[in-house]
Amino acid sequence: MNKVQIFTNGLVKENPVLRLVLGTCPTLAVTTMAFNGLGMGIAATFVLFCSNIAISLLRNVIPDKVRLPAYITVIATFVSIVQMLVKAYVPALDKSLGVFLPLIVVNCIILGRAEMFASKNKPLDSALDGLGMGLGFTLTLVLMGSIREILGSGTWFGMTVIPASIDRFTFMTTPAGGFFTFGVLMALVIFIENKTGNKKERSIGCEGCPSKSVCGAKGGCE
Amino acid sequence: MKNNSTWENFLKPVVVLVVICIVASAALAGTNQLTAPIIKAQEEAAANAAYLEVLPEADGFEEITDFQSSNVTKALKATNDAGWVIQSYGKGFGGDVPVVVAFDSEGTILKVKFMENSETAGFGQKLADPADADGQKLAESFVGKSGTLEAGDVDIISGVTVSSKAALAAVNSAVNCFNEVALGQAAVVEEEQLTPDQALESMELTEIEIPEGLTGAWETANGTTVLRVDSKGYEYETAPMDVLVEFDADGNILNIWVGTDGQTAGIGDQAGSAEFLSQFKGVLGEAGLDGVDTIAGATQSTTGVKKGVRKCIKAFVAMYPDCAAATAVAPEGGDAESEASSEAAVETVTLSDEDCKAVLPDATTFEAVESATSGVQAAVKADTGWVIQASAKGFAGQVPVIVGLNADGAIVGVSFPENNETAGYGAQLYEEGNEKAAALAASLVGKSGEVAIGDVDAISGATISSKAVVEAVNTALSCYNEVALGQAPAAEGEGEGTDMSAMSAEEARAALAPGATLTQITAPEGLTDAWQGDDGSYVLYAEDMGWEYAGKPMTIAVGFDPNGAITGVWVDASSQTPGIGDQAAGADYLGQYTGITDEAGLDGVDTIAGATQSTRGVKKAVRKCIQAYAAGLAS
Amino acid sequence: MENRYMVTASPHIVDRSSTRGLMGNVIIALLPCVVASAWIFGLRALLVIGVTTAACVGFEYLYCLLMKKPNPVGDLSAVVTGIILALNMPVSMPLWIAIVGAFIAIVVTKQLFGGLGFNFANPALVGRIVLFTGFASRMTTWTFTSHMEETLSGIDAAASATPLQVVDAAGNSLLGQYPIMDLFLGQHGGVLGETCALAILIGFVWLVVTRTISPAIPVTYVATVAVISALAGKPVLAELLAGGLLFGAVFMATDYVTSPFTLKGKIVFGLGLGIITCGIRYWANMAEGVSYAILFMNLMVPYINDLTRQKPLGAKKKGA
Repeated sequence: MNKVQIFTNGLVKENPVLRLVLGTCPTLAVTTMAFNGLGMGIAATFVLFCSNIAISLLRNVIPDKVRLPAYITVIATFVSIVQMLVKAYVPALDKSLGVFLPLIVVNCIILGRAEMFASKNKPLDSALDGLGMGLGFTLTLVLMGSIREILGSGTWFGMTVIPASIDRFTFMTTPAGGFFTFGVLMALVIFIENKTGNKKERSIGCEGCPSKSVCGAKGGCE
Repeated sequence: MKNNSTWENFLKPVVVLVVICIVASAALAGTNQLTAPIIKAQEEAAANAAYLEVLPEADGFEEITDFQSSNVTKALKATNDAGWVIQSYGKGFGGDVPVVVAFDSEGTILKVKFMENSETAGFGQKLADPADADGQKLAESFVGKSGTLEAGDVDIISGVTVSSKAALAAVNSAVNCFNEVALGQAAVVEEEQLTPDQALESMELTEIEIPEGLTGAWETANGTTVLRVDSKGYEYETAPMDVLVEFDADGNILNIWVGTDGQTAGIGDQAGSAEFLSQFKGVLGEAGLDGVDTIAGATQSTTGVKKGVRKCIKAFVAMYPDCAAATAVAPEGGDAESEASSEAAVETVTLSDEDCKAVLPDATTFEAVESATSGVQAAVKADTGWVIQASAKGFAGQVPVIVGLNADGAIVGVSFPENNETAGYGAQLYEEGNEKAAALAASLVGKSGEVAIGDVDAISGATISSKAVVEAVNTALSCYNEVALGQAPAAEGEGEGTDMSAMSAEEARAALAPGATLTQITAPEGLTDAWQGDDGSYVLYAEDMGWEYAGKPMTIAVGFDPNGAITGVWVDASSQTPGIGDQAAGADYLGQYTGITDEAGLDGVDTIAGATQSTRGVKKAVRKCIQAYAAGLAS
Repeated sequence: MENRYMVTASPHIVDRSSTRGLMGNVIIALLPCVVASAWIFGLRALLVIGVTTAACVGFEYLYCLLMKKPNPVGDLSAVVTGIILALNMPVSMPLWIAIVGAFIAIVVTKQLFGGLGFNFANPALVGRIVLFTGFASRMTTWTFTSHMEETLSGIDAAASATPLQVVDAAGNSLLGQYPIMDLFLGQHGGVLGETCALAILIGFVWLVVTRTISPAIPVTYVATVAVISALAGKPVLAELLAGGLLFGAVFMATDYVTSPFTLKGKIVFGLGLGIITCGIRYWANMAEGVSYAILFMNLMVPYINDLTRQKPLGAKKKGA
């Protein structure tokens, strides 16, 4: 993969939320408003970028046995730094993100990319990957947030776009609406992929499968 | 090789982790250094923002920490003497209701801001919501006032009584604190309300024989007697209230403690509040209880406490038959006074010239006059007539009406100030441009003397409020008789009979046939009991089911004077729906019966809409008594 | 010549019922409610019902057209869904919201899952619940005839609503003071179909007589609610007649796809419904327990079916 491909990977083809299904918890929680989605996305991108670089730099130093604690420590440090910076300079965002800002630590995207990519690739590639994934994450959040906010509250980034005389479909800002939007977006992305022939090769290994003994497939199912 | 693997397996991981942690900590510490001051400044600014919001003229605050007043979190004096800002709290429904109050240097409230609280969403939370109209109204109603405030001074949000009252208490605490730190007055420190168990622990007690019906009895080292009883409060509660009363040797109540664990939070536990319980102190004998007011809205719980105290008094009297309590009579004028005061207090107001002109357009000069008619809030003599504001009890409280009368006493204009009636119903009265209110007002114009509900366009669906308007108008007309025609003022209690609902059966009987000695006689057919007085008066008892789903029937007692006119009616409506059916035992309703001499007189008696079955049941029972009286007992 | 018999799978004897026929009977059973709603709430009720039904049928047709599936409109199930959904709305519902509801019911709940027979919950029910959460104020705006206003002022309601929500100033339910006849004939606020108990009962009788549904679920459901209400000290008859209980029990809980097969299963279903409805009505803050109870039990149906499986004739018990 060349550098550009690494970067664009995270946007649609391997979109962390809609294709890799990572980081769904903050996705569903903060997308009640587009602004919150944007803020969360940017914060997560920053952490992802920094932690990917750091972990990539340390990839030959950290022994395999302790890689998870090491990754978590690094990620947590970056998140705490981000949190303090946000609290000091953008307190409004801190208030609206609330507890989800510190929860970026356990955002699966970051740990997942650290494990899947940064620990196996050079720093520059990892940085690009982090940026791409973060951007994909942000775009998804903004998209979901916009849909839910427009339909559910009639506003977009706080500006009223649907005239106040039309009822708001408040269902969309409830968790049920969130899941629904999420599902629809996932279906959409898969539909696009099928159409453009970019079907992602997915392979689930045989280890956990109960039909292992009788199945004839070799190398896992799709 | 071996060394390698020890290094690889055990040491390297540890070292790497330690190094990573050190670096991480350093980075965090560095960032913290950088951002912490900024964050702190922001938090202070946010807090100060609240203070500056209420007192914008201040340029800074100095905090005063030396004060004793209870329930105050912060007292701040503006450095430029623009005033004071005090942050206090009151106990609300789910927790504390914090407020920030700005005073000017004399103590007049400049602004009140409600901070975030954890009250019920949609109710107490309205206070802290800047977009909420009711919350804003309440906050604004404090402005300009000074001194300790009462519930009637401010716009309590209907339906959010507990939280609103908590806010009121919080403001009062702020006022107390202001008095202490700014004016140098003595601090008002709230005494901790003890539970009965705590109170018992603090006293030296020797156990004595527990009288029947009580749960505990002791003598203290000071020679006082302490009695304990369980009393049922709110009918749906699982646990009874624990009432503990301390008597001195004469039977005066020295102290009372109540445990309200089983009662509804915020409502029934007012029965344990210092305010309510302080009424019991000094009470001597059962008769003294007549002066104790129950708390509207917490009726069952507070009545329960009263009943418990009554049991204790009875037991005390039984133990010491010679004590003063046994022969104590009601405090001087206690009955009528407590009757008047237990009806919602009708406060006086000042009518502005605009208010007067609104109902009496041609007038130019206005002069306030005094009126002794009860129910009148203000009376003004104008050059072309009179303007009187009176109020009467409506659905949720008092309904005030301003009436403009010409010199002959005919109504020329009517306006409705704000009331606390239900939005969409009685609240329509003071809604601008509301057609129904306008129709009601228009239908009153031209009337004089006395108005009946059938003469006016009552607001359909707001019957009780409309009736209150008519009652208030009649009060205004009576006031006219007093101030313009010089007639004797009509006191509310007259002709309606004293409120007998808190009396026991025997007391009621005595009240129904005053001055006579009663002996029981055989009850005529259809009645449950009958007593004859030595002066020819009678007290007859009948029963009626009242509300069809009631558990047991109501007992109704009707008193007849020697001439056969009804002296009064007493009703035991405890089986009826509280708040609804028990209006059938109310003085307002029962007062209609006084003076009736025959069945035909009953036609003028109105049942209460919404309590139809109960009040109709009383009417039926009274009819039975009248029929029985006419059939056999009339001499 | 070889004697090869073609053995098809059972059942070998079938009666003449078809989905269309069954749905037709349900529509007939719903007609009294439709008429009653028009009588109580006015002609706009018919407009709401008509538009919702048309929308349901339209969406089903369009969806199947776009997804290149055979057109199922003829089986009348969309019509039934449309009528039931409409009867779950108040008469003042703006028509565009009703159409949104139809979309949710037909496209999302039914077709996206595979069409008739594959829906996980009653489509009209899900449509109602989504509208309730999404357009709460519209779904809870009741209009009253003057007769209802009189009754309400007689009770001195603090804030008028459906009978289940009427409380006095202290927050105690005044349901017991509601005249029973008013509740029975539907002279009170509420959604189109739930008010007139008489119409619902007529529909119920028709459905049972034509053997379209088994009375097991409605009877068990209502009986359970009655028993629990009595135990909780509430006015039983009023509780039964108020709210969407009867309508839900007769028309929504009995949907074939989302209720158990066997009699035992149906009884368990009805019991569960009753318990959950009472739980929500008395110990939670909502006046309506019926919708969520039915939804919850719909989700439980696969497990109920599993547990109350009928033994096939002649089969040996496991392990015997």
